Amino acid sequence: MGKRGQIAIYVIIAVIIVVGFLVFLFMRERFVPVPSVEVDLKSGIEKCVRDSVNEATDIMLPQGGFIEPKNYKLFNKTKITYLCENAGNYKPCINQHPMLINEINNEILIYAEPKIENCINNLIFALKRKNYEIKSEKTNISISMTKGKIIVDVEKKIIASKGETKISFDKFLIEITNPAYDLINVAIEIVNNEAKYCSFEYTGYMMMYPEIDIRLYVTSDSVKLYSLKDISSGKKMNFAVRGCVIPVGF
Amino acid sequence: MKKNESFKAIVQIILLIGMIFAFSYFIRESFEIREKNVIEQKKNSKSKIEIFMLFYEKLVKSIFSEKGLVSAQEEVIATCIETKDGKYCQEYNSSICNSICKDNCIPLEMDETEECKIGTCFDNFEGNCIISPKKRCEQKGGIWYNEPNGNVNVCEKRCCIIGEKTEFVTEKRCEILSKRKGIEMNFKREITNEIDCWLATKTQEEGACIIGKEDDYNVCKFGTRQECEQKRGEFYPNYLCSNPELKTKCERQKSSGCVKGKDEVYWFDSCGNRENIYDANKARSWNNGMVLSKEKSCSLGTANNPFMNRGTCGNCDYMLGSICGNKTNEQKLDDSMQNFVCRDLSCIDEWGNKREHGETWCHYQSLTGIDNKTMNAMDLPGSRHFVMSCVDGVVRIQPCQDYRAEVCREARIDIGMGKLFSQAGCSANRGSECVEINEKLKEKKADKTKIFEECIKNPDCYIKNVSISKKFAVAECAPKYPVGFNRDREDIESVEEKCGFATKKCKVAEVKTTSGWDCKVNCDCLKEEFIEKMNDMCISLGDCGGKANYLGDYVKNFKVSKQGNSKTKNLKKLLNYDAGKEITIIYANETKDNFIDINPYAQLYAEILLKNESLTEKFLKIISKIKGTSGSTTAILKRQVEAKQGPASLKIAGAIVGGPIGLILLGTGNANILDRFSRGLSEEEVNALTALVYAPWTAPYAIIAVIIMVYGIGIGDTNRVSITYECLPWQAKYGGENCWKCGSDGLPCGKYACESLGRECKYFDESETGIASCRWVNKNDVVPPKIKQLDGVLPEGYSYVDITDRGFTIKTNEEDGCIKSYYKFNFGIALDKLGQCSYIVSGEETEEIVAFDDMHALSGGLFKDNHKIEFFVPSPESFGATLSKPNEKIDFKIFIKCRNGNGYENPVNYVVSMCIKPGEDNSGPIVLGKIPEINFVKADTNLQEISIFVNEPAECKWDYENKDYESMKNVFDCADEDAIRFKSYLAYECNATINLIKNEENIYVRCIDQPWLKGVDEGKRNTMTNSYSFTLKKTNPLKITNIEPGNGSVLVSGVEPMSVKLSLKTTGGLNGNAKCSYKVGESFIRFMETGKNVHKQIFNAITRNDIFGSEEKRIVIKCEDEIGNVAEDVSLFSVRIDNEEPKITRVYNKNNVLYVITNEKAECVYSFEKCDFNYANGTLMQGNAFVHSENFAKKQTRYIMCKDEFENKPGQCAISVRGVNF
Repeated sequence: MGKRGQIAIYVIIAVIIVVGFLVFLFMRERFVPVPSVEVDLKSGIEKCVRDSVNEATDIMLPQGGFIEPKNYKLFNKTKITYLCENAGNYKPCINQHPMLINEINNEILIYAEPKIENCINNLIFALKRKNYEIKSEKTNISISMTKGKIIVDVEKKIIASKGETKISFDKFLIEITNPAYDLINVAIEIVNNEAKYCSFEYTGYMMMYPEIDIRLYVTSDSVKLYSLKDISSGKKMNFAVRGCVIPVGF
Repeated sequence: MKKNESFKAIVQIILLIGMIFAFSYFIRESFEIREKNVIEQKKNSKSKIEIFMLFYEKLVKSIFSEKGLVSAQEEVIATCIETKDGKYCQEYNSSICNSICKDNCIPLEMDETEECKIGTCFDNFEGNCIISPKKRCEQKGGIWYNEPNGNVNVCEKRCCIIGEKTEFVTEKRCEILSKRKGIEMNFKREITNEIDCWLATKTQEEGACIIGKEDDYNVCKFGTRQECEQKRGEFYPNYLCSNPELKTKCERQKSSGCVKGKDEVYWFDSCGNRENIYDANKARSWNNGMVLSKEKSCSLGTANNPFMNRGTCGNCDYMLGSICGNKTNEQKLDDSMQNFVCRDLSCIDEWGNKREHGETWCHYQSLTGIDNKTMNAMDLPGSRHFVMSCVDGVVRIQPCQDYRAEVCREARIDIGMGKLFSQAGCSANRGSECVEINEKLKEKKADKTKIFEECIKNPDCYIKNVSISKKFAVAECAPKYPVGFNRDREDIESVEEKCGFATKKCKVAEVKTTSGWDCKVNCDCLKEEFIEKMNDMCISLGDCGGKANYLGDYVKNFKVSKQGNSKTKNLKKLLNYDAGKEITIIYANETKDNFIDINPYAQLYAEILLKNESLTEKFLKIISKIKGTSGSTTAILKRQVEAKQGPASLKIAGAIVGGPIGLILLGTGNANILDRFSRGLSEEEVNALTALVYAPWTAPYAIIAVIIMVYGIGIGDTNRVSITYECLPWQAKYGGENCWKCGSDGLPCGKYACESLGRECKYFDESETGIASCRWVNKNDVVPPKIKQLDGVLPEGYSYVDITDRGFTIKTNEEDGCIKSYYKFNFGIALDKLGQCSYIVSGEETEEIVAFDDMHALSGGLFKDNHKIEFFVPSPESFGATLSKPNEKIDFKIFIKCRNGNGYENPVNYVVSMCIKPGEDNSGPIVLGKIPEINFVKADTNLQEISIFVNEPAECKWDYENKDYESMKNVFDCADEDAIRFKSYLAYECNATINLIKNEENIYVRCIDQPWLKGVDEGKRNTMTNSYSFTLKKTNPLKITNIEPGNGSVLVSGVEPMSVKLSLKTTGGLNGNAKCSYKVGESFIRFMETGKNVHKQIFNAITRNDIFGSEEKRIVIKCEDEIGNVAEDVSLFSVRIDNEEPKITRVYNKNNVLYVITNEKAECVYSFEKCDFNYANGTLMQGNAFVHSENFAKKQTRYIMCKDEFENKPGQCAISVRGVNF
């Protein structure tokens, strides 16, 4: 390689360095690393929420949507809530939880809220140990459900400061993939039919809506146990129905 | 081929989609009948599912009507709003309600309470409508409507398009779901049923969506228009992203795969976009880069071979039994590079037959229905009905209610090419109604033809005939699918009574001729065929008699006994015959062609639509029968008491000698028999003689007749022998060695099945393990039950004495401690565990050595811990004491043995002793009651027929004043017939027609007993010393008042069909109480709520053109009270269905105020954005009547939309208004 070639190479390198520097200057804003505290806190809270809510639904759904069922049928050591029941004979069942989605929302909230709170406190405590000064306000959590999702809205003002660094949060919106809403809606449909017509033709229903697998088991004391399974996630919801019972024996 | 495939598809779609909530033609049949006969449904107003449900609801309500139930049970019902264990709105018997309830119960039925009235609960947060009690709905934030059928505007469902999916939901729900999905609401009001909505998913427009550019290539996503709009892309309908015209980077058909929510195997382009359905012929599938519809895509197969093209075609169809899935060794595409295939979703059933995906069929644990050869009901103890279904290639099992409270019914539909498609379901077993019908047979003057007509009208009943000879034929209404016997039920004694219907005694007469003894009457009763036929009848009633359980283990649950000895046949074999063994073991093996056809049931549904209330009544009477049957005594001993109806002096012919059974069927004779004997002895006369002999009160005639025969006419002796078949409740064999077999047939183990396998089999439910099991409990129990006296049942003045381990004595407080014959009292034995007991009494042969099985069953052979016995003391004459020694006392003994569940019995008889002395029968007859029981008569009645029922054969008279028998002027006609059943007694009927001169007449009745002594020995006859009296009162005419809707009223509804509550009151007649019906065609249908003086009927499907007329409705009402007063009236009203949105009739600007005038009361909103804005997002104008106003200073275009009180509104703005500045 000749001298001119070398010079050309140096020039190219110099241009690359200059361009690179200019690009750096121009994009600096974008390359500023997010303080790890923010990432930690966000992902930490998200994890807290996700775990608590999933834990709640994992407990509740097999029990008919309640953490501690009061009126239930025991099956395989599981307390399965009567969503529709008539303790007498012959007559259709009476819907025990007409606003089921609302009730389940509240149940999730009651279960998850202290856990989320506790979890956030732990996160804050961890930050404090890293010499962050933390200012936080009261936590407000609201839960709503929609198709395939549970949406948790955590309102909490947190200001973390350490030296010059100051980070603040006030709202976390976490979407959790969970079939609870879909399962509950099918349960409502079944219960409505049971309360009105004493039966639900689930085979036909599954033909039209195959996303949810429906199983029905009738115990010897004429309690109907419905088991709904979300095909894609495998999550299950159970509930019991008692109505239109013909007293056994002649 | 293609035609067949389409046919199959159509049939299956009809079956599986259009009528998913029931069996296809069952619905169709009933639906059509409903349409023709009842109310013509507006075709597009409800989904087919909903229409079916309305229909089904009718059935449910007719069967499960609470009103009737309550009245039938005669219980006072109270409502508990919340129980201590967290149940809401439950009804209980008022006697226990408060103990269950958190607070005090409301002494009303649920629907009469404010808190628990059932209505429609609207969940405003989710847009759902739920049937629920009022308080519970409102407590949780719902809006409650007093409309139990969901006919509420806000609950009207239409099709909501959400992305590529559709949902048949309310408008509110559509709005909520769309909002949550972040898309604009697309609510298709014109799609009014669920099927069309579901199909809309399949026909949604799809295409390529260009969402940007990258490297000079368009970025493309395949999907629906709505999705594209959501992404703010440019939509190219029917284009694939790989279409070169779109200038994308995507290369066509790079891979194949399944898509969530879709049935088919698809090609995918290199960008991951779905293309058309997989076809090995790539060019055909790609379709020049345009969407190829499912119909035009390759065909997977034909009707005969549905997977013929599986190797090359991915056009799977979930409804038709295939879906995209991973390939297997057997199921794969020809192209080995492809990993997906149309998977076969069919199943192989228990018979090895192929079942289609979505098919449901019945499975029974034994044969079911009627055996055409023997006419037996074939369901065996322990057997349960199941619905099997094939879903996603797997056979599922769903049990019907246990104990055959529900039966599985099936429709098999020919879908061509020799293929059948089944649909099955569980439904209520109406077999218990047959027992009720049987009861009527025993009532006085039963019209058998009518009763049997009623029997065969019930699809679950049939007439069971047993004909042994001309003289012995029995017919009863029996259930086709007998309901199982639950050994844990509280009123277990009623089971004994029900089986007792088939307990019959056949009287045989043998005559000595010159060549020896010859059987003359009912000779077939001495043959085993008699026992076999009687057992057929017995087992047909339910779990009674000799039959096998569902696994084929035979148990003999009947007794055959004789009274007297046959001179022509050795009866030992007959008495030990195992009837029913061979035949019922065969029933244990189910066959594939044995099923309950839905057809008769479908017809029943149709009938219910027209006669729902009468059915309710019938059904509920049975319920009351089942629930209300009391009985702590054995049927046999109870009947001994009934036998008291005959004069005691003649009990001598009652065969206590032949065991207590002999007392059951004491009958009466005929006073004219003597004349017949004097004319010779035909077969009829032998028969009459037989009857005479078994009619103890006619014994003196018999004696005379015999004297005439022997000494006068010179013909030889007669011999009477009775064979009694006693039908007992079926109970499993002792022990529990077969308990483990429960569930071994692959079906879930049920309680009924478990209990049928062994007396000691105990059922453990699913609460602990999730799987029910059946175990032999008390396996090592070899100790028989310990017997002792049952305290607390003896009457005052009686006591147990000399109590030892081997028995006790019953004494009275009279000096000699003896008990007078003809007296009845209760005593009993108590066991330390459940046991089955048998007994024999003094006078029976070789009592000490009789085997348990040859003794008489106590408590119908049921296992109980307390056996209470209602005992009628027999006369000493029964044991050989002669009438010449009237004060002779007899030591009477009852020898008892009891077995435990494993079959171990006390080796030594337990003995109950008592001393019996003659009682006196010097009392006159007793009038047990009358028919009609009610003392009120119709307003226009002048002559009233009355039947009275007397406890013994008698002659009776009546008068308007209280006089002695002789002075009474009017005579009752007392039948010379056998005793008939009146309430729970055997009684003798007398009839008279009473002339009602005044509006109120007192009637006095007196009777004299022993009519056969008339003119012979009048001094021995006993007359009633006090009159039986009653007052007959004429009632006022029955009137209908307060009809609502009143004549001329106009009912307006925003939905069609609408609900109309018809209500009225009745006055006059029998306290105003009556039963009201409304007329449909030529039939009258009973109101849902009637029987008192307020009558209500809800019509939940009134349309603008139905059976009651077009918009002007005319409903004819007829009410009738119990005594026959009838009133008729008409409800005339008109309906207006307002399902049209308000129209804007005028718009003007005045002083910068915009005025909008509507043609009806409405509220209006406006938007500045666009015409098809969402109503909820609009700005409300002032005024909620006809005039609506808004500041119009701003002349910008306003899009205005109005809705009326019924939520009727247009899909987009009604008008756009723009102001112009002049």
